[in-house]
Amino acid sequence: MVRSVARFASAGAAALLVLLLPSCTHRRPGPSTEVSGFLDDYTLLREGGPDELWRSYRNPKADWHAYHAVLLEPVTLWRSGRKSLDPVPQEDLLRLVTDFQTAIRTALGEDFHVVDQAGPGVMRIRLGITDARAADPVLDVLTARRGTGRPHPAGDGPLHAETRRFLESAVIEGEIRDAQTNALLSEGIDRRRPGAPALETWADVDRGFARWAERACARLEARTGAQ
Amino acid sequence: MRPTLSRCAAVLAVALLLAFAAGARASEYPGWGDTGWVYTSKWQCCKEAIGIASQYSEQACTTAGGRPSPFAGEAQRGSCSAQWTQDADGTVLYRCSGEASVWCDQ
Repeated sequence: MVRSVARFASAGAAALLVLLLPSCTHRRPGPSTEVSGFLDDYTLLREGGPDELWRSYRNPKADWHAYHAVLLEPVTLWRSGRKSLDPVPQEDLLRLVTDFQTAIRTALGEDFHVVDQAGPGVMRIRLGITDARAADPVLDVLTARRGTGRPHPAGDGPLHAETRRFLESAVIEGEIRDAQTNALLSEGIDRRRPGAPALETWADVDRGFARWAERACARLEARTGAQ
Repeated sequence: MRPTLSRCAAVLAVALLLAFAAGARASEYPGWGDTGWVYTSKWQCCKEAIGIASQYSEQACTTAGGRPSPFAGEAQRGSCSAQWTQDADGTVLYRCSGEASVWCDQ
């Protein structure tokens, strides 16, 4: 009787162990489906303050003062859906990418060396304008290093309706890594403030890009101590 | 003076020829690329898949006797479909399929 109770107890313990084992193993969560997937890890992001990015992360162990130069990856556009960028005129897509890149380069160039090669003291900056969810199976992607070299037909004038639609639903995502070790230094997502005036013209877009780039680069300068 | 039938036919033939030439001048040959499972970010995985697809598209254009005409601004454009899984340690792997069509002058 005693032996059968002991056998029953040990079988029960084994069954309990089998049931509990999967929950005890340390398994990192997979990518969330509600975000675009442009950044590697969205679980690190925290809500930003009034004059900060909407959501951001800063590596507490980063030695910001060690960085003096930046390597800027070409800006990327991501939108959910096969050929989903097709409604936006091709010259507008290229202009969005190049105007944003120019605004960032201008703001960074005031205090950092902008370089083409990874090396010691170099930060790699990767930025995207995204309107996507990882749950959607296909992405339409555009990356460009420079513009067409021709003036854009609209000048500072009105935006194409589809370009405006894309911008209204898009967010800016970006990350900063050590260009040599690939260690994540900082990452964030920013969106248009609720109640912000509508983007009507290319002049509005370029002003918005310049303001965003100046604010982001000022925060970076404050961290690195760049003058 | 009203144009003669043969002149009308000649004008029509030239117009058709121009229309055909304009249609045949540039075409697209879609290319596809698959990265296989890779330990990298989704961004890098998609970039590679579209890069492979663009190369195949350029090759198809050349094989057809055309000359690939890349996008202005060294742009890379295409679609990407990404799958992910995790290894035993929980590290995420991606596999991306890309599709791209570069313009082909013929």
